[in-house]
Amino acid sequence: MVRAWSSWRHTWLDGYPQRTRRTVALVSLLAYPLSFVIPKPFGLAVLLAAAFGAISLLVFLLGQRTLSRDLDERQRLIRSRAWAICYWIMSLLVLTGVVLVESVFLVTDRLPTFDVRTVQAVANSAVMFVFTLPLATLAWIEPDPPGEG
Amino acid sequence: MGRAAQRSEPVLYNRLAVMRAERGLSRQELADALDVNYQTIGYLERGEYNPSLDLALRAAEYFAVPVEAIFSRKPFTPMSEQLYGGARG
Repeated sequence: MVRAWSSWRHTWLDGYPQRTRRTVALVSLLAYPLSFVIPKPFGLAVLLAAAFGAISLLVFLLGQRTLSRDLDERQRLIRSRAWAICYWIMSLLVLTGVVLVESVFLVTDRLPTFDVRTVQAVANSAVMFVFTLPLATLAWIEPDPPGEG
Repeated sequence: MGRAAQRSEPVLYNRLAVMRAERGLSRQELADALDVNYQTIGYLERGEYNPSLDLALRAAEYFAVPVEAIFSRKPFTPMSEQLYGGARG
């Protein structure tokens, strides 16, 4: 028997409860930046950064598949909400960064300077954050599916 | 009967669950017929998602009834009451 197309529309998000999805989303978003601020004995930070980077990349690839598949109208609505939330989060983060730099400038009368390592860490985290944020938001807002009844 | 939609969306009641049960359909079978995800049927039945006009018309076409027989802005009276009246002993 040929399975109808709509039954293939299950995304990888469908199979996990919201609590699990939110945990994965938080780990994906926070673990990578955190790996730069924890103590760094024995190259642990590099190892963690690489591991979390790989997880984020995997989440991003799965997300690309999830976000771009043939979705029905409700799923497209949820996806649009997720993109809108991402837009506001990113805007808020950029605005916060600008306000912080501007505040330092106003107080000290000179622009703050950062060493290369810090700039690289922030840049790497930002890239991974941008990759992961859309799917993390989707995983966060998608409610648990209703039970069969 | 569909529960009132949450958030600020307009309340839309529906009889999808009843009509599906009458025909002995699973959510997956109805989802296949309407070309949507099976979870969307669940959200529709619980009144947590309001369908587009296109989806509402597809449902009406599938069940071969007018769209207002499935979806309404007012709560539906139970079908048994409609058929046999609401008078009691």
